[in-house]
Amino acid sequence: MTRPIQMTMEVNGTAKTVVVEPRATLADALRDALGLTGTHVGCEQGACGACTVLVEGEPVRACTLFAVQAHGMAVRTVEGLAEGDTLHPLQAAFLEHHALQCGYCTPGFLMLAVGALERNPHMSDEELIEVLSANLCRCTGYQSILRAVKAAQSAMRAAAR
Amino acid sequence: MKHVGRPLPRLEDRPLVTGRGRFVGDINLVHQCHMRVVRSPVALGRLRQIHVRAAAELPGVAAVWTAEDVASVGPIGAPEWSGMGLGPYCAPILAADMVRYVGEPIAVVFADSQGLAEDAAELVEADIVSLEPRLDGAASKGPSHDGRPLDMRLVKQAYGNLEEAFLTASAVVETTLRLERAGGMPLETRGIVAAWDSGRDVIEVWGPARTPHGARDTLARLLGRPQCAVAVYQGDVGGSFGARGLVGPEEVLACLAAERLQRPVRWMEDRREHSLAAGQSPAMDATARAAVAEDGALTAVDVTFTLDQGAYLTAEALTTADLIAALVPGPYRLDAFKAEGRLVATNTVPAGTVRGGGAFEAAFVRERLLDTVARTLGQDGLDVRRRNLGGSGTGRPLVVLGADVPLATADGDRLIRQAAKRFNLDLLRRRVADRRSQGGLVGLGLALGLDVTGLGSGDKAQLTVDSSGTVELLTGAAALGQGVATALAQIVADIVGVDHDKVRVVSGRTDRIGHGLGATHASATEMAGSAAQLAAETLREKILLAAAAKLGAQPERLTIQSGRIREADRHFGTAVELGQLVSSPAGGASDGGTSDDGGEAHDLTASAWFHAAHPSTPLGLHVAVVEIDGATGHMRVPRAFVAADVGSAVNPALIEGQLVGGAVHGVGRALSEAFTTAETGDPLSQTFADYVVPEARQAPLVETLILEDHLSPSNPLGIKGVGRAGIVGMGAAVAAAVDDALGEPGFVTALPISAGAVRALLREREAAAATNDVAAPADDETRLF
Repeated sequence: MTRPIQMTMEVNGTAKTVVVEPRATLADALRDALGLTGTHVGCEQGACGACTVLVEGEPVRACTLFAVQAHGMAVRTVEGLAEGDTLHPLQAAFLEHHALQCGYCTPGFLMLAVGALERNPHMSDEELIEVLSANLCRCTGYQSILRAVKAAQSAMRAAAR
Repeated sequence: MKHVGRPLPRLEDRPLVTGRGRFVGDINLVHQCHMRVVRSPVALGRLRQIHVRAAAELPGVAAVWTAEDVASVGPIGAPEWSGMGLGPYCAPILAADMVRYVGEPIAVVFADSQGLAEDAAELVEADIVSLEPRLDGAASKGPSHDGRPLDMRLVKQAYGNLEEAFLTASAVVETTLRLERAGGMPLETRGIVAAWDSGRDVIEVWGPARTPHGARDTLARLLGRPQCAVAVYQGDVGGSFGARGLVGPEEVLACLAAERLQRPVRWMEDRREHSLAAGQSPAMDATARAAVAEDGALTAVDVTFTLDQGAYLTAEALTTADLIAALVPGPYRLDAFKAEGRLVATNTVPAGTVRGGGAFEAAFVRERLLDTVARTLGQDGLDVRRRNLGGSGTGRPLVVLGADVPLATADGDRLIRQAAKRFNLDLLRRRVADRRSQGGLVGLGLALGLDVTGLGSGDKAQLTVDSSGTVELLTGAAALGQGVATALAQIVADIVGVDHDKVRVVSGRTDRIGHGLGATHASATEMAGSAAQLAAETLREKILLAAAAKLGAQPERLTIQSGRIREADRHFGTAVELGQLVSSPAGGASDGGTSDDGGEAHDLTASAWFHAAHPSTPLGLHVAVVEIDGATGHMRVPRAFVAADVGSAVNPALIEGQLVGGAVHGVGRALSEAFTTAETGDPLSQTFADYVVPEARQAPLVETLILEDHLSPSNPLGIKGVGRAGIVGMGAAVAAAVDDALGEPGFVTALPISAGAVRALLREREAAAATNDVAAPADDETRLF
């Protein structure tokens, strides 16, 4: 049997120490050890992207990363997007543009798009579609997601000026 | 503020975008154990023995069960089935002596952690003698290996003199078609948390279901409990698309264990299990014939189809088969018609249904047949469709699940004209033809999709106002992500006279409301919305009476706006807040006074039942543009269009979401989605990597047209269900577009369309062009337009 390991990571700006089995994924650690259940698991093999979180600013699949691999790193999850009651511009855009239905894939899409927009605020439509093709949504047919991300891109650029 | 008809933001969204939704996987109970199902590795075999000792002895394992541990429970299936000779097709809770598909549950492990349960499950060894499976429903003849007759069930619908129609026809056309198995494949897999409340003796169940009340009833029957001793609590649901309908062995096992082990039990399916064992749509083989008169009028249609039902029967499969037969005539006028279908037992996953089930299959058969007719007559496909439409109020009723359904409002011609205008269809077709004449492999296809929604006996709604002025709506509708809470709140808000965010919609609670239709056949807003409307009308009358007493005014002179009640023609003067009308439990009014009606408590609650006389029949026009890569045969749908006759649009943004999402799902079924098996019966599609659902870059830009000019006569708001309206005709439309792009009418006979077959055709043409200068296919290309 494998012995649990103690590890530390910064989660949404706060240092967290958790004890996990070596085989636990980052998604397991976030959901089970920290109660951050906004990170959803859809396939456990990196195909659907529902579990996407930001590790050191990069979108990663939390289901295919062992928790211990995130030791010492900064992790951002959907729970960290809003500031108090104020939604992140992308969250607000998702509401306004009906970019979600069941909401299961939504946290993954939000983190994927936030990571991409923070890295490059000037992506073309084609580049955005390419980025969004990393994750799966079964409800929306994607066009409302694209609309929301484009609206948030404008809002985030305006806020940055 | 008027709410109905406006594209308001959804009330559901805020928790979902902040990661605070509550899906079944987010629920953990103290002292819970985790369940892992051991599944058959072979498609057909004699189960000799299962060795469980190694698993049971692993520390932390609470129990390991095989068939003999659950012999008193089940099988799964409707109670009346055994009387119908369907007993042999009912799925056992755990396989006892035969296994009949890869993935069939044969044992189950309960352990202290998910990891432990999975470790223990791997120690369970099954001694199975493999037999040769039957995998192809249509090709199967004779008795099955396992002693069960192959044909589970036959469905048939017919009218008119078919024989004469075919004898006197000026032309008879025929086509043979196939649909592969497909799945809903929601992003959230199945799952359940079950607990036994020993104090109240209630089995409590958290988990997704398309009909929470149906799930409760089935579980109660299988567990031998009264219905009120099972409570189903449904939180957020990660999509359904047909996959949430069944109570499978897993849900029954979890409930049984919760009671027997006296611990909460948690089962979360993984994606591979979902692909192996969750309900799929059956594969279909169909032969369709049409008799055509000299003037191009269809006189008769004759369809035979075989559904590969898989190892066991499901209630949804029976409905799907019946719907296919019922919907084959679609919106067209026919003198004679026959549809005959077989449900055949095969060694694959028991088929259930997928979004559009029944209507999608029927549209594929019917619209491919119409394209065949057009090709034979050398006429335009759209013209042939228009000529044969039944028109408003004419033609025979559809017979759906034994009841007549009049096609009273399906005005196809008007739908086509309006869609053609909005989508610029003529221009689009010319552009496509231009690009093709320049050598591009581009095509356009269209199809009419007819659906039946609002099936079910009746639905109920309950409204209660509390002293904060909040209106609680209790409904048996199932929220599966479609935004039904927002739509219902909009309906109630307008009638009661409050803002829609003051309406709290409570769904998925069988302990709070005794009846509910869930969200079957895309009908949640239609059925639950109608019940909510009726309840709201009663509540409004009660509110006005109570306010009149309080204000000393005539009730008919009062108005309610944003929860304030006052006399309509007076801008000033006294008003009363809705919450102030609510009596305290002690019996006095909440302001402490005694009301003028003799102290009788103002009970601001209302409930109503809604019974629809008939289901509704929404009609849609589906258009797809296809581009084919000449080098690879790869097909892409850059543009798609859906015009839908929705009756009354409660929230157009929700409807657009359903239409676009459904259209993309339909493109997926046309181009990539299939559950296939190897010759051994081993599933070849076990993950999202090999069951390919559309990604953002493959999804077309979908334009929609929401038509409200034909209200449904079946319910007071005139609503028609739209959850399936995006997908129904899209498979047939993409098929027609590929034919068009290739200039090869009738090329597509199966979905998903094989890029390999397209490539082979293109290679063949190249070879022919190289050896022989005659370019016959190129001539064909221009003939359609």
